[in-house]
Amino acid sequence: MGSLGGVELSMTNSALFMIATTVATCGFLMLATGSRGLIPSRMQSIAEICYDFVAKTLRDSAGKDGMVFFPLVFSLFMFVLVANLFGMFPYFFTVTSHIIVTFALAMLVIMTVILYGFVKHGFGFLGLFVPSGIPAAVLPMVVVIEIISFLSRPISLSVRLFANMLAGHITLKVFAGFITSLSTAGIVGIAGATLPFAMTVALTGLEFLVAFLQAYVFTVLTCMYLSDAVHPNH
Amino acid sequence: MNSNQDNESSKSVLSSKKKDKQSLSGSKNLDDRLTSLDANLKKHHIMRDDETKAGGLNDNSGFAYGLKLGSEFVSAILVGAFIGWAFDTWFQTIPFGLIVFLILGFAAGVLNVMRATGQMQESGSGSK
Repeated sequence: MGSLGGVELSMTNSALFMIATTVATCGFLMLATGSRGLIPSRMQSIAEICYDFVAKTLRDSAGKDGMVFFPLVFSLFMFVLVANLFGMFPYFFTVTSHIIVTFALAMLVIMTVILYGFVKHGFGFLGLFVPSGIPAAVLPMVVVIEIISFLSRPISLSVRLFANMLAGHITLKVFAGFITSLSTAGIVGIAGATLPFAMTVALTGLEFLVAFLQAYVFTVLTCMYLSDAVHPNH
Repeated sequence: MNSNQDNESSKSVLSSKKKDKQSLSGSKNLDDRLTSLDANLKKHHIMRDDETKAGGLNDNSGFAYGLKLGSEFVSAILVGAFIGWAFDTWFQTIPFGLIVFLILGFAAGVLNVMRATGQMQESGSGSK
């Protein structure tokens, strides 16, 4: 459709669902916090629980100074959570089951860590790669290993979210496919198809758990990495 | 008679206390109650935290845990391999950069896994 500097910029279903996720999140939070009652309504309670949950997670791992990142972490958590939950609707597209999306989110986190670290601590941020109490002889090797370990963070962060969502949805689809292929095999097949059907129901429940859990894991790891940016020497 | 009076006086004390509660005039009393409420809440929070931690460990399926450690390990090796390949293309040292950085990436992967399982922290605090 459109292109910008030779790069094709078209409206894909991935882009559509990312926009839908953002609109749904913003719309829900605006609607929920609109009344601002002293005694919260149900909607407002949900918004407050989300706020408290992310604030506690961030404060526990990055400390009080880490609260400057609260808008970023809250946006990330809500985006991942709502995108995961959107994937649970039949015929919807799961944005987080595509590695480029999760990788972009992870790169956003790591770039924030690097930029904030250098702006706040200057070259003192590089102290992150020099563990204390290491003999000078092996120090260069340890520093290289630490740097590789640091660079692997965005990859492991993105792969974990992507792989969990993808694997869960594939499992769900495989079991759902068993139902149709078994039910073509006569009366015995139809009777047998109840087994994968039960499995599909159970897996759907599990997938809801995974949707929450992976959004939480992504947030916790983000907080831990941001904590490194706030206190590089620990 | 005497006992009856006593009863009456205690009743009046009770009612005055009630009034205090209603009007919230005894600020010291209110402060005390607030601090005790705070302490109770904290206790409750700690208990709840313990509960959620234990629950999280229980329902964290083996699949998710394996995927977590696997991604930690593999990603470090991939980064090591990529750095080695980039090093080689820049300095024309075709196999050696790849060999060295793959091994370093492997070491970083082991380090990642040890960090993720919490073994690194124990030894780190021990050496400090």
